[in-house]
Amino acid sequence: MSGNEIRREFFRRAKQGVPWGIVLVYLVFVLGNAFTIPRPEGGRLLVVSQVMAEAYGSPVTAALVQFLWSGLLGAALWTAEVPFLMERGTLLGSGAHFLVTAAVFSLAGWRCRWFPIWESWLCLLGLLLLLYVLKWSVRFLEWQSDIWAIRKSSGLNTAEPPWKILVPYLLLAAAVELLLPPALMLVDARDFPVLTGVFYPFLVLPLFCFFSACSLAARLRRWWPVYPPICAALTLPCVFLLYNYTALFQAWTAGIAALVGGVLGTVLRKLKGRRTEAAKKQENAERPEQTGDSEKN
Amino acid sequence: MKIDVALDPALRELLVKILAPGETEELAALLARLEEPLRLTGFREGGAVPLDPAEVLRFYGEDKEVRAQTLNGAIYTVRLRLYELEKRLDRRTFLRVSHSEIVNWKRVTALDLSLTGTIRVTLEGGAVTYVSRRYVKKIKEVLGI
Repeated sequence: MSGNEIRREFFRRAKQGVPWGIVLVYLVFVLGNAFTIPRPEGGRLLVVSQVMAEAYGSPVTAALVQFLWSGLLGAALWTAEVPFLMERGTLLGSGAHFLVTAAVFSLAGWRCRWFPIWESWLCLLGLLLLLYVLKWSVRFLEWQSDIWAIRKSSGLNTAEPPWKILVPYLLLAAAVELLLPPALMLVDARDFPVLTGVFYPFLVLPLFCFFSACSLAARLRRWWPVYPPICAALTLPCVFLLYNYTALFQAWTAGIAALVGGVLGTVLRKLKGRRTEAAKKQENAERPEQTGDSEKN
Repeated sequence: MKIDVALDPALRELLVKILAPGETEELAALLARLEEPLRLTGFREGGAVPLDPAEVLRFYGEDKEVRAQTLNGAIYTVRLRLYELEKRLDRRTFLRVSHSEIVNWKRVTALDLSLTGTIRVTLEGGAVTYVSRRYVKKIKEVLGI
């Protein structure tokens, strides 16, 4: 896409994002209000925070200010795809876009008093970063698979340097194991933390480690065994910063799940290799017969 | 159109037999292509030379003109537009890799993806060019993926 086309696309998406941002922010407030017990004073539905309404002197002014900031945030979020349309500098563009979105989000949160404590702001920024990392990793894996298919079909060398295959998996693991727990903690219930106490350590973490290791081992022959210890090690910062030593089982969970996934991936790769080899042998065995047929014809 | 290739070692030269349901436009175009192989002329330093498409690494747009880079590294100007070349050349061999470039896929030696998402094509002789991600889908289609 040319520079002008990208600019046009950017503004088109930004315009589309404004109403979505407004709807999203007000929806969060309405839903938040609906599930708040006890209901706010007078049973009214608040679309801005109480602190913001007090700071601006009237709820109407506060709602108007929040309207503008929500629109701007929506525009920023809706244009996150634009750097992927660029032929060069996609990573740089995406990184710059994250910084701008983070700045808009932080300013909007500060002006609209969305964050009662600075940790909640930090956690939501972490969640935003997680989304960007996930998006990038998934896109990179898609591109890699396209290139691999083209190479194979063109008879080119399909071998990729191991680090190039490993990097997106490590980025994904870092995003899931370092950024997801604090983000979940933010939205988790205080009395019974289901998300961080059950959902993450017993479902998300083992499943993620298992399937990512399975996919990695199916693609990497020798280097995949470095992945399970890395998965285990990546849980440690959150274990000591967010939980305590009693959550150390997460390291074992991650490591063992990745190891089992890796073994399964290796087995699947070998089975696939055997099937391909058998198919090739059969094809070679059938070829002289076909030539013979065409000769007869 | 179905293509059926039968190898016969007894034949002394290439024999092309076409089976068609009638005299269609497709048949006429195919016959024209078979009877008149593509002739390309490359212009360089006031002279003109015939170019064999198989010897061309890539065709690319530069300064509002179309250039052809050959195996020996020489650059010629071709008086055809890229879309015209795309129509005339064998579409399975010459693939459009970006808005301004057609590459001889039989001369590609490596295809790499950088961590920043750029797709690099290395051609025989070490010439390097880049594939636009927008054209990856089309390339896959042509290659039958």
